[in-house]
This record gives sequence, C-alpha cells and structure tokens, in this order.
Amino acid sequence: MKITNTPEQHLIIVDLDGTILNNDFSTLNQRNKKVLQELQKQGHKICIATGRNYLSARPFYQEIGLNSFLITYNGAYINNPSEKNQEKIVVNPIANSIVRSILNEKIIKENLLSVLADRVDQTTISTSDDYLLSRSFF
Amino acid sequence: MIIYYQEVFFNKNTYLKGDVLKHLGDKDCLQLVLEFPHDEGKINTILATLRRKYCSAITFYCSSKLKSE
Repeated sequence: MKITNTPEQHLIIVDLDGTILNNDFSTLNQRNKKVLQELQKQGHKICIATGRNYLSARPFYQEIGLNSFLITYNGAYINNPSEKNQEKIVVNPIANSIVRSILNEKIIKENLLSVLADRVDQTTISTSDDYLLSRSFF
Repeated sequence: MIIYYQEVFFNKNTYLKGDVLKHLGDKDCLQLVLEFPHDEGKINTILATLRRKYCSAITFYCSSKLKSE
C-alpha cells in the first residue's frame, strides 16, 4: 500500500480481530502497525473500534502509539488512553438489574453453557476457563 | 481455524472465575457474553425473549462463532 500525503485530515477507524492483528489474534501485524503510525504522523486520527474489552484492546493501542480514541465493548466504552486522566467519552453500561433479570430468565438459565461478564470497573468474570479454552472461534 | 477466545476476551489479563451474579455485586456491566448449545429452536426462543423484553435496554448480537467444530 502506498501512502501519499494529502492536505485533508481523516478519521480512520479500524477493528482489531481479523483486521490489523495477525491470524493468531494476539499479535499486531507489523506492516499494519507501520502504516497506521505513518498515517498518524501525517496528521490523520486513527481509532480502534472493537468488541474486545478495554484491557484486552489497550496493548495494541499502546504498541502502535496512538493518541486518539479507543472504542471498546462494541461502543459501550470510549476513552482516550493517551491522555493523562484517560478521559472517558462514552460509558454506556447494561444496568445491574437488567443483567440479573436476563440471567434469571427461565429459558436462559435452562440452556446457558457459559457466561462472560465485563463489569464497569473493567473486571471480567467468567463461569469457566476450561470451557473457553476448549472452543474454537471459527 | 482454531483460535481460543481466551486471547480475544482476556488477552492474558486476569479475571474472576465463578458465580457471575455473586461477583457482579451491585455493579453494572459493559458487556455480557452468553453461550448456548447449538439448538436453533431454543436459540430462536432466547432471541425472541431478549427482543421482547430487553430491546430498549440492550444491544445484542447473535453469532455462531463460539460453537465447537
């Protein structure tokens, strides 16, 4: 990909999994990293938007050296990790009463295999790690 | 392709294991991932329940990505 300088500044939003990460889903593609760094150097704003939780996504944001927003939890949490106070732009959680009500639905309780919940304090809760480890993604 | 969604959801971060409601306490959630057996009839009923009762409170996606091969 050839990167050319343009006078306009653009907002460029990229996903992580299946986009700028390698197929191992845990390392950043170095070519993509260089391209994004170059684009940022030219004045464009680079945002990561992902369904991952914040702690899972932040290392890639930091590895690239981004200075814009990081969109996580499918948009429920947006902040700028490069700022000292890590200003929160959007925090749109599912209310505790709703989570409890969903998990107590009869049809859900009877069929549930596993649950993973991310609390607003960034703590992840999982019912089982063995189960998670034995599953394939695609 | 076999990859473990341990990488995606945790990325080597620690997490609490066990009773979700107990650990949740009075805190709200940024994300809730529920996994069900691959039974189309039951999944349709679950989706209908979520749509009917919670569509104004949550955004939800249904995917077969997590099912075993």
